[in-house]
Amino acid sequence: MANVAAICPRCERPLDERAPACAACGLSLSVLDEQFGEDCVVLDRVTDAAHVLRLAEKDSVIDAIEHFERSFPQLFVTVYLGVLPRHASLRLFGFWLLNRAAVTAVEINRPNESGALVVADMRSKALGLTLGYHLEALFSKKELIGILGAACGAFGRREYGEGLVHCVNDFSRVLQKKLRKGMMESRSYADSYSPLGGGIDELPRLRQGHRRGLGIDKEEPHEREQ
Amino acid sequence: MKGNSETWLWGRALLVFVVALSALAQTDERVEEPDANVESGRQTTLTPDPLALPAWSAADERAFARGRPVNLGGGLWPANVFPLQPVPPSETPALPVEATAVAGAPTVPSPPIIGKFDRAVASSYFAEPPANRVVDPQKLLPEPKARELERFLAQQAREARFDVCLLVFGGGQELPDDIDLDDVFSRWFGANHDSVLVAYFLGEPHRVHVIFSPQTRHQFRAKDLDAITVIAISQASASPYPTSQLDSFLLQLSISLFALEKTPPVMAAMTGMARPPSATATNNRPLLSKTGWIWLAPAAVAVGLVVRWWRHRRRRRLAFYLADREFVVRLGAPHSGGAGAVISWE
Repeated sequence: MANVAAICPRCERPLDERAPACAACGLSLSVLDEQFGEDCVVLDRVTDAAHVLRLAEKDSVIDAIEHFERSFPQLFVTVYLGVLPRHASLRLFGFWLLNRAAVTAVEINRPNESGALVVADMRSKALGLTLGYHLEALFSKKELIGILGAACGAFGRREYGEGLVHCVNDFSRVLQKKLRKGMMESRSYADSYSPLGGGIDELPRLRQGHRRGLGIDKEEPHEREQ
Repeated sequence: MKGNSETWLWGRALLVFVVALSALAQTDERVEEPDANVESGRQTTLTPDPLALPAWSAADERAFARGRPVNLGGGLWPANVFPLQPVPPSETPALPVEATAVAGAPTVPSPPIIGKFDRAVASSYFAEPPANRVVDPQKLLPEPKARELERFLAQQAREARFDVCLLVFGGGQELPDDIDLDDVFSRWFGANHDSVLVAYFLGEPHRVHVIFSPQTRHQFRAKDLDAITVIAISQASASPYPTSQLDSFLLQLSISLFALEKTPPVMAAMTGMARPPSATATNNRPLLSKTGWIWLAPAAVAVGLVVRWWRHRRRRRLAFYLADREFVVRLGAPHSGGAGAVISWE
């Protein structure tokens, strides 16, 4: 089963690992920063910039996300519904947003690389799912399409909340199924990543995104309280 | 010294050999000699072929002399085939010897083959309600045997709930077409619901009719009542003699009827015997009525749903942890390499 890792989100060609940019199309995060902005974006569990969710719908989506977070204490899901500029790629926007987002509702021990971003563009009527580094090796493109497809029916009826709940629940179900089967220890995943040896040295890097997102990367905690 | 010892040993061995030979010769002679006490005309295992005869042991001879069955040949013959037993000289040699026959008692005649009932004989059976529990106007049973069975059925009626009335017919006899035993039962025992009418054909236990009251048939399952009859027939069929068959049949019928009365309901359902009756009419209903099943089925479904919900809830409470892995940053992106998928909902 081919996973979705190490593929350029723009030209979908294999990427050379550690390469700062795609060798084929030159895509990098800095290129997208020029398009969407370099500043971090503060997100909640559900960010409805398009204002298409009713309050009850939003609550039901939050409930589904909180249940996901209880089932996976290291991971999180965040939802962004917006209206993107014309000719903007939802795939690239999701890539940029997951790297630049600071999800304030989740704990600090859930870094963005352990997150999944569901993003919908109301203008192009497209729905996307972007995965962090920790999750990308677990899913194939076909599985992701299946998860998004569960939501498309409701989105077509403009029942966005129902569609998002379906999407989050399906994502949780597929992930649980995989973890039950021990896919975490599968050879493909182990070949892609070596065990983490950084220990406590890893923590500052994990926290970096959130601090940058909140604009407090140079402040100490006690200063923040003041 | 050594030569004397060897000679002594050889002498002993020769002596043992000669004794064994003579014993064998005596045994053969005993088996092959014509036995004046053996009843003629009956099937015998004593075939004239001397090669097929096994040897008799002393224990076999003792058992044989006492009239007990001997499993001759170490299982060579079926277990129910016995060597003919010598008839005691004091008794009539032409009569068969039954296990229930006692010395000095009148012998049991073979069941007559009569065929269809004579009308007069039929009226002697069915005209009036019987005064005794054993109805045998044709005198097919010897008088002592009839009295013995009468005492047995009377005791059964005293100690158990069911009262058995036995109609004795001859082997090969057939009931007249206009005789319905259910009608006879209702005419005779209409008020007594605990009576059991048994129409038994001597020598043919498989033709027996066992009639229960409508109330009994209502209280117990038909297959339980049928099982009582089938078990009694199988017990009777184990004996080759007509009166022994009748004894075995009535004994097993009595046991089963007593069990029908005493077996707990659950055991009745499991063993297929019966459910116990009770003294009050309210308890005479089946173990679980139709209404009970109507309630039990939704209850079972509800329990299943609760178990399913509980398992689902337990599964929902499970937390899954991913193993810590180091990842390689791609495209200058610290958190995600852009892995994902996009679809359109239109």
